[in-house]
Amino acid sequence: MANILIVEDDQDINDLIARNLKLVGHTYQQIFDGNDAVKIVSENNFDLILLDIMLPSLNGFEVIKKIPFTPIIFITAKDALEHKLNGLQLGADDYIVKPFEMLELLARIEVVLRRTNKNITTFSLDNVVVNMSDKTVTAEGVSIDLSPREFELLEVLIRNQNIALSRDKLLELAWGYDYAGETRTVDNHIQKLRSKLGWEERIKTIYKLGYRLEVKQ
Amino acid sequence: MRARTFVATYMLLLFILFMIISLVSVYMNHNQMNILREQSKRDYQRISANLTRDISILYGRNVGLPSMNFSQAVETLAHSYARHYVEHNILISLSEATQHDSSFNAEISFVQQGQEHFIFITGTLPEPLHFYRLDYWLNITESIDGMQNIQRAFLIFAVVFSGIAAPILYYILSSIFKPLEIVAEASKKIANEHYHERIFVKGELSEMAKNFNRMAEKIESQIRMLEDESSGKQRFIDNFAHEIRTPLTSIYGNAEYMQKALLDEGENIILTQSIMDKATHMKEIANSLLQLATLRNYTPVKSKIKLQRLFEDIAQTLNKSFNERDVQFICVSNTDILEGQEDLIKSLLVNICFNALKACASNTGIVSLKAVRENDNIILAIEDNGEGIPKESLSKVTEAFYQVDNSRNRKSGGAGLGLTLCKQIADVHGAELLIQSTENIGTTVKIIFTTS
Repeated sequence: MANILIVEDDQDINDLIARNLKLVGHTYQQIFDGNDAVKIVSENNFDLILLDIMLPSLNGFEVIKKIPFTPIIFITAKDALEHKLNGLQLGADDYIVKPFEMLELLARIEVVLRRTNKNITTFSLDNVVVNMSDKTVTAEGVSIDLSPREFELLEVLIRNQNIALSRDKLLELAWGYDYAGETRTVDNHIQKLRSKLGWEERIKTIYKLGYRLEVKQ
Repeated sequence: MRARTFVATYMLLLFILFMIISLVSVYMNHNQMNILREQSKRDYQRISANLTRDISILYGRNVGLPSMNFSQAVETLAHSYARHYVEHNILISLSEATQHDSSFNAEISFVQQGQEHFIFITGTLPEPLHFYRLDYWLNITESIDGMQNIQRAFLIFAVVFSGIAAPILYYILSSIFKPLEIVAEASKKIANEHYHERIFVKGELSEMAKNFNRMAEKIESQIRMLEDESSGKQRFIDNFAHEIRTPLTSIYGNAEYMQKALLDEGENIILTQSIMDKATHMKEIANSLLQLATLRNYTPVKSKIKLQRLFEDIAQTLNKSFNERDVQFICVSNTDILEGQEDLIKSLLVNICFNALKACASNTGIVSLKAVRENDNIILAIEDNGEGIPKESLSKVTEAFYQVDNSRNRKSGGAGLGLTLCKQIADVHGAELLIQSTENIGTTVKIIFTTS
């Protein structure tokens, strides 16, 4: 769980990002202009900043110069290459172009957090504790044996908790792009995870879509 | 170019020079020969006549003398003649005519012997002495040499003249070609996109230089215009992409969220509302763009608009918005009548008044709408004491999607098409839209309707 600052002047997009961050368990602050961003960063500690480039009062490139240490992902509508280069040269960790997909944004956030060791390493739900750095799972203190693929799938579900993932997406994320398996493989593994962890009610089948790990009460 | 012209002109000059020289010498030669021929002919006739007379006298005096003596006497006489004429470069010989000679009658011919040239005349003496043949040689070597000397002098003159003419001609051509070279140089630069290039030439070609500069100016301004136009179009596309992408990002994101996320209670209402708002916003953009496209080649359906009534109408439309923001709205109309399409003019004025309202601060803000008549032109002016427009943005505010605050703060709403539409409406009415502004003092927008 990371604390993330969202700097984006468009109210709707700012809210949208915030909602998504909240969904997977991050905490966040919403800021709408460059000067405010610089101010709040000097007063608070953030694990990551999502920074729009076109901002009132101080644009993203100027903001990044004043924030030397926090990891930053640029969010921009301009997909021109020069912007990408400019952003990365100034020390942004990544860059995402509007319009973006929710999962893409979360994946990129995850990559940056992992690089700075700010990502979630343990996750617990209903007496089940998942340790993602050791790749171990215990239920009420008793170790549960998962195959590497099952663990991979579990990690994908946890990282995208509360989000419905299609079978294809799960294949892509847990098995990898080049895996040519059938979606039925996913169903089988989900069944096994449900029974091994006792998460029949947690890993929900979403009609016509896929599966969702529901963490919210 | 210059080298070729030089060579051609020089060749032509030499050709004409030598042509004239050869014609003159041929003519002189011919003339001289004619004179010599006439002179020798006269000489011959005179000699022939004198000789005939003398021989006749001899003959008369010596009738009955032995023919031997007589012929000796004639020979002596001929010798004395010859001796006399030798001094005049003339050789004379008298001989007995043969049968063949009788056909000659002062036949003239030119004869060359070694280095010497002669005019040779031969013929028989007149009757009754036609048994004598008189030969006449006039030595014309000297005249011919003289003529050749003259020709040589001509030739030397021609060669010297050619030598002198070359640099002079080159200099003249250079001064003629210099402006052309300047023009060539300048055109090359213009072709290489240095459109600011101008030339300065004095003399007869200054008119050409003036025209050239005018052309260069025209090209420069046209190029500028094209560049401006194309960069304006590029900006339009960029901005259009942004205007479309931003709401789409939001719509897509919210829809995706609704599909995949575990929603809180009531969340779906907020999200669908946001989607609907964005869709409405995009619809407005589409409508404005469509209106712009329609207006581009539109001829307004004009009627006589009573300004007083129009202003009252506008005041009524705007009243609520101004009251909400606590900004004062002053409407000063007169009794003038304006020719135009009423709904378009109204939308133009309402739009600009709204912009003025947005620029004004609450409480202290004042917006005035006035109609003035100036030199038969009706001017509608909207004045506010709002935040003003930065100088660098002033020329771009009527551009589609242009917004002074480039962060595109959605709080002020709109897509930046309002003023573009206003400009278009003014344009189709043949009116001029004039925006004057000072930052932090206010903005005045004038719509000048020319009566013509």
